[in-house]
Amino acid sequence: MLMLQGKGVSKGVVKGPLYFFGRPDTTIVKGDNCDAAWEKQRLAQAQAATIAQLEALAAACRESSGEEMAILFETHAMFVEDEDFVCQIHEALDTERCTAEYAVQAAGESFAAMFAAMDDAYMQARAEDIRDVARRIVNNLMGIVEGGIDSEEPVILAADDLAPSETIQLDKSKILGFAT
Amino acid sequence: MKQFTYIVKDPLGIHARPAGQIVKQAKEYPDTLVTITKGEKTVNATHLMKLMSLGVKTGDTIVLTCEGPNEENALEVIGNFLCDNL
Repeated sequence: MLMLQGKGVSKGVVKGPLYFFGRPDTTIVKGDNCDAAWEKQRLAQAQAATIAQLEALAAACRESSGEEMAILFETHAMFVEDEDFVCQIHEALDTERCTAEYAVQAAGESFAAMFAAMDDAYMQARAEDIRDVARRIVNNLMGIVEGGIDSEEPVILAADDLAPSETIQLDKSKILGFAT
Repeated sequence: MKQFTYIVKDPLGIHARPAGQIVKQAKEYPDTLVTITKGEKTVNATHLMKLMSLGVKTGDTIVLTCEGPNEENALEVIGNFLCDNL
């Protein structure tokens, strides 16, 4: 059991699971001695989670914003499983023995750059889509939920610091208390 | 092997939405090789990134090729899709 001591700022005592607040711009570790098989397994899990999230977003869009956005999210889900994208990631894992996060980000950048280089404004805009999908996969690998709290039960939210704008966005029903 | 030549009419060309749908349909025929050719480049129609990277624009001529046990079926379904949506 790990015991940490701090200073109480507000009154009250709660007990619950600790949840670390993650920000999207977290540092990605490259690694050079990773177990490729293990990284591939982590990747597969993150891919599945990403696809599930995107399909849920598509379904929600279908109800509110309409078909166009829904299909775009479904297309994003297809990027996650695209053979060439996945092949490039696996190759990096095998040859560079890097982390899955690094391989995904690198492949994402590589494909995004390819689209950005095309002489078509629409295709250039797709570069952002690819980066968005890669970021989502990396977040899933790192267990980060952007702006949200990925937990069934209420948690004690731990963070180095929380900006007022970040606190506003939080789902209060999922928070027992804060540790900052 | 069956082929179908088509001139794209959609102002956006093969953008993400129809590309995704072509990929979905091509995957329905795992025993048949479905490819799309634009000029000198041919890509497997089940590869979304490659298909989009073809950069098919309005006015471009593409060739849909299906080769395998289900080539006739695949050609008809995907060919119709192209006509109806692109």
